[in-house]
Amino acid sequence: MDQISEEEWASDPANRIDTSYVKKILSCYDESGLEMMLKFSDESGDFGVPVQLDAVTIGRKMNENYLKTLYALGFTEATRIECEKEIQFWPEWTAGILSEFMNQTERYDLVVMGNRSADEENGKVPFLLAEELGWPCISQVVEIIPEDEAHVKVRYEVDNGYCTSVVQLPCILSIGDVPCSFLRVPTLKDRMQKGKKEIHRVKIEDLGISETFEGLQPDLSLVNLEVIDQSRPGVILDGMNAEEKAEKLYQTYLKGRVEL
Amino acid sequence: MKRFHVVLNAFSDDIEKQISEICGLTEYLLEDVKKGNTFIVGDGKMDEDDKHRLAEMAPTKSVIFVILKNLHTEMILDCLMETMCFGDVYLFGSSSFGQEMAIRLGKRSDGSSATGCQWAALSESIVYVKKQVYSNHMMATFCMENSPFCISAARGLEGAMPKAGKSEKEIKTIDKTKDQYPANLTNTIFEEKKPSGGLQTASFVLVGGRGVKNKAGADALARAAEGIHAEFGASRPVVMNAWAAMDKLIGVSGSMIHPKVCITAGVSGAAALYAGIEKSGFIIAINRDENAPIMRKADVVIVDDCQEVLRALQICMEKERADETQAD
Repeated sequence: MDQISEEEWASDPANRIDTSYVKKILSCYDESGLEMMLKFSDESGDFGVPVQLDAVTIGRKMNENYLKTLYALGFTEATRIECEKEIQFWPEWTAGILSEFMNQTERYDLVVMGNRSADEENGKVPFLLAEELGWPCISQVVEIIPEDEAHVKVRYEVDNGYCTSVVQLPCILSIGDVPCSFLRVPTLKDRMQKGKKEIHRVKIEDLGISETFEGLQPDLSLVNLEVIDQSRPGVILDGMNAEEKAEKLYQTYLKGRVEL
Repeated sequence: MKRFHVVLNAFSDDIEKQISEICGLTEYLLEDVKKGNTFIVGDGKMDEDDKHRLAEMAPTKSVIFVILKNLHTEMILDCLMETMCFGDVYLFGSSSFGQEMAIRLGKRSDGSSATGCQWAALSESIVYVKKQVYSNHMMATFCMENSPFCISAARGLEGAMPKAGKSEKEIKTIDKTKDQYPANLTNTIFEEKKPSGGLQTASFVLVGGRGVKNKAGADALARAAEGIHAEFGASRPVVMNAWAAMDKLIGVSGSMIHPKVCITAGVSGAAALYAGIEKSGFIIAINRDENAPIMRKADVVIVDDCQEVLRALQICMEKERADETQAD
């Protein structure tokens, strides 16, 4: 979002910001979740717990680049639920689609997802999906450790600390702030050998949902968008060197404001 | 006429903050809405004095304590669903507990939910909320049409605490400690977080950004903060690269601070960080890049190497301190 210049933050009459030209990147929470699952899969062998990693995304054909990377990293199946339309501020729709997909495929007992997106920041999809499926959901997860075939051990942040619990499957884990959890980079050999595996594509209509979203309404309807004006005077402090600027800073602005 | 209810988490030790956030959210909402219940969720360790103290802070006359063995969301949701009144508004704090409860209760009751809201108001049968979107670049206004309306506050909101009324509170207790709890979460071990070194209450803060480049740069900035008697905080890239501890994180995922003076060093001015410092009284930005967004969001800007400026500032302040001591 910070790639968009300040002048571009002007919404159109339909209350939308055009982000189509902005380079897409994985959300940091999704990235953490993917790396955690790869690590989980690496460790599960020691616990005698077979793990199959699948990935699902809802969106445009350009999103398949990320799925190819995941194949190269060892994911078993990658699926794109086709949707060329940009759906925003409608997490109920996203959760509904994922729920139908999971009900139809009937093979998952652990779902890992980032806790929120950069544009909407509502954190709703994991919990709405949990309600749709009738599964528990743990949020702000920072670590996932294999336990046995029917359980995982999870470390998650709570209001005043961290909890570590053994969680019975099936469940949904929503990933929070995890330091140093960047997605590993596949080798060129893996990209060439595994990255070309076929990506499964599913049409929204095949999930029983109308392509034009008839009969569906979001919880929240967008009424207005305004730029947040955070500008301040921005007085430039000049000086010949850092010492001169620091002296001016202290004498003009800090003296009397801060304790020595 | 609609009623509003408040749900507070007494397993956490920040009930006053939760109430302040909810009061900040609903300054305009509550003019037209009757008061319902304040639900306070806690464990059996609360004695009668604790209950009366907490009840006094509640924004409503009716206070219902829900006593649980542990903070189990399903037990709380079941309890709220039993007492739910359609058409009403349910208010939660900004924490992960508050967000989860708002979303799940809204879905389970066939109502609607909105999280991280800065403002809420009622017009006829529709609730309007405002929240920041697009990584805090824009303020969006939404309308919620399906009741019950479940709303969680945004982080950093502050409202006037309810005045202690002369009328007695009506206190009820629902004891759920003997109920059968779902067994899907077991063997829970809790580790308390270390206090975040006073970032929330500091009057002078130095915030390091990605421009510190590495752990050595972040450590140097932390020492500089000590040298100028400022509390040290860091942006998300610094913390996520493990160049500084998680409890130093400032922004929408970390501390929302309001010092008298905030110096940013090597900070670009990303909206997510700026949301954490925007309530600072005076902001000074130091960055080599004169076009960095922070330069338009600070009161004073210095285009230079932040480490050099801060070293010089420390020397300057030490000299001033020595001169004052001598003069005394």
